[in-house]
Amino acid sequence: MGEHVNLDRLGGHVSGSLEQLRTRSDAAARVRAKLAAGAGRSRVNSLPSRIRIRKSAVLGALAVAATVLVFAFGVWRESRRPLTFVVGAAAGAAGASSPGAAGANGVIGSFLAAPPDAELPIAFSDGTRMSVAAGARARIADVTPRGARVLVESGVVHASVVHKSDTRWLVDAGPFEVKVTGTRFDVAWQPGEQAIVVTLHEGSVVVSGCGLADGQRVSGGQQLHASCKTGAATLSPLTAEAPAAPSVATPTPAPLTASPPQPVVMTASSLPDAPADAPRERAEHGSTTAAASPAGGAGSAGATASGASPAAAAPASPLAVATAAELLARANADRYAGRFDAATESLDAVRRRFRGSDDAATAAFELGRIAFDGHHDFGAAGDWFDTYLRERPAGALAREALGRAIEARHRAGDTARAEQLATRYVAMYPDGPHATLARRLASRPGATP
Amino acid sequence: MLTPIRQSKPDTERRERAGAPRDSVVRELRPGLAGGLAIGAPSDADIALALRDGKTAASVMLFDRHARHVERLLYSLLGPEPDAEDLLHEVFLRAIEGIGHLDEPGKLRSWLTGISVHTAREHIRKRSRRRWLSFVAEVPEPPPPPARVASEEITEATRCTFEVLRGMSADDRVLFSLRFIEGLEMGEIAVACDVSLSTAKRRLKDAEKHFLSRARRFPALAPWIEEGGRWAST
Repeated sequence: MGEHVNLDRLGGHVSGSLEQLRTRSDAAARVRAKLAAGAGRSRVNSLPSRIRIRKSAVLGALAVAATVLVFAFGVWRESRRPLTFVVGAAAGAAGASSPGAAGANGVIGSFLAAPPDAELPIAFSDGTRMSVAAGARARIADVTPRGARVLVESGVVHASVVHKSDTRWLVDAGPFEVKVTGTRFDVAWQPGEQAIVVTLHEGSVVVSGCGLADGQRVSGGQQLHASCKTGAATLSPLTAEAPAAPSVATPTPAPLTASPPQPVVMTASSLPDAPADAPRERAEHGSTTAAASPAGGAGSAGATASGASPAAAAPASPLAVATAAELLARANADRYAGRFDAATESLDAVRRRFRGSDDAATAAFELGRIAFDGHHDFGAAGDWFDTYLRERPAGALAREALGRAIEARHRAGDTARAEQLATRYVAMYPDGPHATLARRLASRPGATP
Repeated sequence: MLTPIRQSKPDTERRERAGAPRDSVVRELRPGLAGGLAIGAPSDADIALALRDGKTAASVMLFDRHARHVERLLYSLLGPEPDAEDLLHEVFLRAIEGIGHLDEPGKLRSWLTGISVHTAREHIRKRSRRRWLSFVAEVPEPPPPPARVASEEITEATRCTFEVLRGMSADDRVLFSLRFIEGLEMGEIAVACDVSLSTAKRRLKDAEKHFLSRARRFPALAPWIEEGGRWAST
C-alpha cells in the first residue's frame, strides 16, 4: 500500500509537470484552426504515416527477398555440390551386403574390391545404386554434381542410375567408355580378353572405344559384346531364359563372337560405315531393324550387316515398315514428350532405311537436336549437324544446322572448329539468327579462317 | 460489472495530492477555448447529434468542449511528445468521422477518452515497432526532455518516469498512466480500455509491478518507490 501511495504522489508530480508543459503549448489552438477550416489529416500525421507503412512494407519485402536469396543460394550450393557415395553394407543396395564390412564414406579414386563370395554395394547421394559383383574390382574415378565416372578394373558392375535431365554418368572399362543418361545396366570387363559385355535392362547407353570409336547405342533388352582383341562387336537381344544379370554376373562373359541367339554381328570395322567424320549409325536389335540399307531402299526384312542370318528375322516392327515421314513425325512426337531414346530409334531407322534421302539428312539434323538439347552431348550434336551439312549443304535446314553446329562445337570446347564454322556462317548468313555468336567467334584473334 | 463513469479528480485536488503549491495552479482556460461554450450551451448529446447531421460548426464545438481533456490525457499517456499536435488532431478527426458509432450521445466524453487511449496506445506500439526496426529504419527523434518548468528534482523524476514507461508494454503503460498520472478511477480506466473492471485491476497490478522493478534502476525515482521515503510522509 505504501508503494501505491508513493506512486500516486509520483504520478501527481508528473501530472503537474506535464500540465505546465501542456499549457505552454499552443498545439490546441492550431488543431482548432484546422478543424474550423475543415482540414483533414495533416501531412505531418498522414503522409509520414503512409511513408512509414511503405518503409515497413519495403523492409518486409527486403526480409522476404533476403530469405528467398539465402534459400536459393543454399539450393544452388547444394546442387553444385558433387555427389557423395557410401561403400559397403550401409549402402544397402538391393540387399547386397559385404559380410563384416561396415559402410563407409567413399573416397574418390580408392580401389573397391568385392570379396570373392559377395557383392560390394555403392550408394550415391542422388539415389543411384551400383554394385561391384563378387570378385570384381572397380574405382570411382570422379564425382560431379551430375554424376560420376566409374572405372571397372575387372569383373562385373551392376548399375541403376537415376535419370535426371542433366545426368552425366560414365563407366570406363579398359578402352571402352559407356555413356549413361539414366538406366539399369551391367558392365562386365575382362582385362585379359580385352572384352566388354554391356547388358541393358532399362534405358539406353552409348558404348564407344576400341572398334566402336563412333559409339554404339545399346537399348533396353539388348546386350553388347565387344572385344578389342578380335575387333568384333555383337549386339543381341536378351533372352528370357538367359536373364541379363546372371549372364554378366559371372566374371567370365560369353564368347564375344558367338552370342546367343542368332545375334546381329557387326565387325568393328563395319560400324564406321558412314563417312569418316560422321556420327555412328545405330544398329537395331533384330534382323529387320539392325540392317543398314545402303541403297536407301525399302528396308526389306532380312537385310543384314556382315553376315547376319536372315533366319533370325523377327516380326516386322513399325520401325521397319513405316514411311520416312511417319518415322520423322513419330520421332518429333517422342522428342517433344522427352522420350529421346524412342525418338532416336525412329531417326536411326530413317537413317538406315532411307539413306541418301532428304529425310535421312533431316533425321541427322534431328539427331543433332536430341544430342544437343536432350543429352547435352555437344560433341555428338556437332557431328550430326556436320552430317546434315555434308549431305544437304544447301538444304532447307542448312542455315540452322550450321548455326547449331557452331553452338555445339563452341560448347564442346572445340574452338577451332567453332571458329571455322562461324567464319563460314558470317559469310553465308550475315543476318542469320546465329550471326551475333558467329561474328564474335570469327572475330577472335587467331580465329581459323 | 462496470462501475459508472465518474468525473476525474479536479486538477486542484490532484495538485494538492501531489504536494504542489496552490500558487502554481495553471490557468484553466486559454483564450480561444474559454469562450467557446457559455451557460446554456448545447449538451454533449446536442453536439453529437449536430455532428451526425454533418454540421461543420459542431466540430469546433466538440473541440472547444473536450480539447483540454483529450490533450491532457494524451500528455499523461505519452508524456512530452513531438507528435502531440498531430495526435490531438487525429483523436478529433476520428471522433468526427466515427460519430455514427457513438451509441449514447450523452457519453461523448467517455467515448472521446476511449478514442484518445486507443490512439495513444497505437502510437506507443508504432513507436516501439520503429524502435525495434531502428537498425535499418529511420529512427524518429526521441521526445524532448521536459522543459524546466518544475523543480529540477520533479523534472528529472518526470523524465525518468517516462523512460521507465517507454520500456513497458503499451497496455501496461496505458493502464499505469491512466491510473497514476491521469488519476482516473478504476471504473473509468476499465471503460476507457474496454476491459472489465477485474481485468483492469489485474492488469494494473501487473503494470505497477513492472514499473517498480524498472524504476529501481533510476536513482531519481528512489524517493517514490522506496516505502517510507520522504515523499510518503508529506
